[in-house]
Amino acid sequence: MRLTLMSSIAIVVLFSLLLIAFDEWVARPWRRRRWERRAKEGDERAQRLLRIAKEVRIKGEK
Amino acid sequence: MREHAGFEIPEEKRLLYWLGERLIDYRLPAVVLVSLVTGFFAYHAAQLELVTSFGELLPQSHPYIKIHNRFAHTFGGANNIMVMVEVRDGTIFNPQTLNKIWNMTQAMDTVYGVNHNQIESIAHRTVRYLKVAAGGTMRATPVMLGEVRSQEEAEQIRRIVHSAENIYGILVSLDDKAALIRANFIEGRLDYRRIFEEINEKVVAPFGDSNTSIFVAGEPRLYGWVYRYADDVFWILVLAYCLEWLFRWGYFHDWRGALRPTITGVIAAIWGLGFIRLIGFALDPLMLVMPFLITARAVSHSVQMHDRYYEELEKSGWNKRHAIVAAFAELFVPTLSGITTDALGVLVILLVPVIMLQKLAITASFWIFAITVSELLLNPIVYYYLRPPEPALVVSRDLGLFRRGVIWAADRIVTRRGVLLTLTVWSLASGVAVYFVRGLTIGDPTSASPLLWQDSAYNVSHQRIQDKFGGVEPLIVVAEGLDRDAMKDPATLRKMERFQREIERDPSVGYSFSLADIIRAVNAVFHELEPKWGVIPNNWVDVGGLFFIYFSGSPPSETAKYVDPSYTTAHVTFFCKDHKGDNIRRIIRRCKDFIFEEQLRDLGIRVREESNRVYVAEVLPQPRWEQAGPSWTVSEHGGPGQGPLQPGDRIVRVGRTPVTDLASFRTAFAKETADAALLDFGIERASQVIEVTVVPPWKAVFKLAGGLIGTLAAANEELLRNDVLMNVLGFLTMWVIMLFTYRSFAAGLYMLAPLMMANLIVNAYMAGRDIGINIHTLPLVTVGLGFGIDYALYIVSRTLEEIRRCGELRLAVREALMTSGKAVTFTAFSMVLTTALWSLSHIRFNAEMGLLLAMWMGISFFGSVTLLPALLLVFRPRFLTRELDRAGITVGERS
Repeated sequence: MRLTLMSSIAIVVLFSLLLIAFDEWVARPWRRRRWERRAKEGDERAQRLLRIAKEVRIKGEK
Repeated sequence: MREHAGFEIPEEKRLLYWLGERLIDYRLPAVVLVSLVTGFFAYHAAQLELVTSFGELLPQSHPYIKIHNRFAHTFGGANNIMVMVEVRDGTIFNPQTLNKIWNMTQAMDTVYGVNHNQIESIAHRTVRYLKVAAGGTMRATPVMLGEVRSQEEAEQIRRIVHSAENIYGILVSLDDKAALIRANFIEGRLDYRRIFEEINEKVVAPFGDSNTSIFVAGEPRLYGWVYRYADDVFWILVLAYCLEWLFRWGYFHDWRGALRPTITGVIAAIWGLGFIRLIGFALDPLMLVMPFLITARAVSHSVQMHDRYYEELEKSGWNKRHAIVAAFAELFVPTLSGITTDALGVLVILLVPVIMLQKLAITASFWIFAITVSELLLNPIVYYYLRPPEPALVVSRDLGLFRRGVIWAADRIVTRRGVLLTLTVWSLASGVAVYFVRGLTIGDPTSASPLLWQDSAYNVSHQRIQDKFGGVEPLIVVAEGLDRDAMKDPATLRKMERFQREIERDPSVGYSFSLADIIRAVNAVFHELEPKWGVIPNNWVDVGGLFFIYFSGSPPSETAKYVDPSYTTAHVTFFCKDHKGDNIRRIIRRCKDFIFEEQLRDLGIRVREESNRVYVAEVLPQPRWEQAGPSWTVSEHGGPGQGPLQPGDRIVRVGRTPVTDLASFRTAFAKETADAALLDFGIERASQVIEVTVVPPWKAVFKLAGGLIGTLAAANEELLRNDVLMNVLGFLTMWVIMLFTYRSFAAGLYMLAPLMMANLIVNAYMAGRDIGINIHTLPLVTVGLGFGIDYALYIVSRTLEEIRRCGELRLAVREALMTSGKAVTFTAFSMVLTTALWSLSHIRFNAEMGLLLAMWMGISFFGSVTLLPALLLVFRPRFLTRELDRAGITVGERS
């Protein structure tokens, strides 16, 4: 299959959108669930990360 | 120390923090301005075309190219296409094959851009033989006047071909199994894609069958293949983009980390591409690696910035605005230094007088400077608008496997044993590289085109034609007369003949052709093909008569490819078997030797060199100026019977050029004889310098050089002249910028050490893999120089920052490796992998360059994270230790 400039741009834009969607709706919830599972199992690192996730807020954000 | 948003900041970075704040404050006007400019450049970038201009690949100021440009339209340029028709069984002398040759030749005459008077084929009107008609009249008739209808006609053509010196072995192979159609294309009308397609459609596709193979070679064909394969680039770019996104997403654990460098890269690319179009340039398909590399640079800087933003977020207690400004201010110096170094380093390419390289230098430099806007200035604004990462995510990165691996490596690199091992390994590597680098060649090291793979369709065809005809790559030496009818001078024609025989001895020269061959053949035909008459006549009248017989039936447009209508200028063309750099150099040297020695003999002198001085060793008996009378010479000081030059005279000057040794004498003599109708010598005789002027006794001067070999010789000479200079200036530019950045003479030397090693090893690899330095590889190697300095800059800048904080060199280096070194490692890893994707290209040049640059980045990365820290720890340079003094902490106390 031969690619042109326009089809190349279309592929990379689509790929980027897919990755963003994957990160927002698949990877992030999965990561959170993994920390929670590990925290329940007594993993200190996971407990610390969960604590940060719950307590720490970015300052200066609208 | 000052304060920023409640955080302490170094005094010297106060201005940068202020600038970061203002960029955020004035974000809206800045975004509007950048968007407008980007839109403007995008409009122009959309109109960019993929074009190769052959003329722009040549060093136009070189004397060979000036000769090539003057005579290419008549005697033939470098843009020849050879089509070979080869039969498997039998010979070409049958109606079917001869008719194919006829129709292919007619089709070739209709291909776009072909020079209709410079097609050579037994089926073209310009290839003629001398026919004796009834009544003893003779005329030059085309070998084929139309399609062949019978075997008898085919046999008649065979007899003509076998008795024609300008056809047999040149346009028809000696075994009668192959015929050549050679066509020259007009340089200003070279449309490689169109020529490629039209030759396929009109000349190749309709005529191949089970017994007939067709092979096509020549520069326009080669570029046609390059254009066809250039579409690979889109696949490679798409694949590289997707992989880069995956890597960055994996590294930052967040899509913003993947997006942010893309914004930088895309804006810089739009500006760069728009600028290329705006100043009237085009993209060369062989230079497509370059935009990729510049974008890789932009992405590389951006990854550093994004990593630092995460770090500052955590350090500032998750204060977004302070993190944005701190990341901007802390990385401003290394980023700007890196960009400036890259941009000015690329400008060094301007030294090579090749228009394409000069255009490349200007556009690449602008493009790199555009990163200043897209990366540095736009950066705080983009972060301001972009949602920050989750704090837990930032912390989780610090506890990840990659980070732990980097810490493990950093801990070992800074130990005494690590330093010792590093220095030993690099010393051994440099020893091996020095051994191999001696084989590095200028020009092409192989006979096939290095642009495509050895087994590509083009190289297979090229090799097949070379094998069959023994040499198809022309070197055109012009014989330029001082007056009209100079080419009717028997002495000039004999000199051309001697020249042919002398250069044909070179193993890389297949055969040659000149006006002398025509006159000998015509003379023989005129005397009923008696072999003893196959010589050059002794007087002008006979020569002129024979030329009249041969050329009288042809229009000047046809005869101009042999000699101009006033018989002032002709040429000797040598058909070479390959274009290897070494072979070209040897052939050109032989040509120069022949011309020099012939001219001295004509003058009637011999010269010798003693202690770098050039003396007249001998004046030959009956020297020219005595034999020919006063009209041949003008001598200010020589009396009657005495020549202007006498044995023992020291030649101090030729023309205006001083003579310091034999080499300079040869150069000055060649220059003077090429341009002047009178030869001026400065002579030292009896401790007095006198001026003598000699009228040269020759009617014509040989001038180098046109054709493919001539143009390649010029390019190779320019590259040889500029390669070392470019490397030295490239390094010097970087050193000067380091001098101002770190206010230290030594800083640049430490940072250049990994680059020098990378340069040495890559050059050794090129020598080992038979990759010569040519017009295409030169800029990429120069661009490679800049890659390593970015890595070194980030590590040294961070070391300086840390040494002020922790007060101990070893700890500072370790911390730099763990922070900046981590981003450098990631950048190098992802860039090496994506750049190596170019090795998938059908274009060997792109594949080799991709691999070379991946090596460049890999080696300079390893140098920057091992050799550089080792050198810093062993030599403890002042530009680092003075920071300890400033902090009021001595090295001794700390250690």
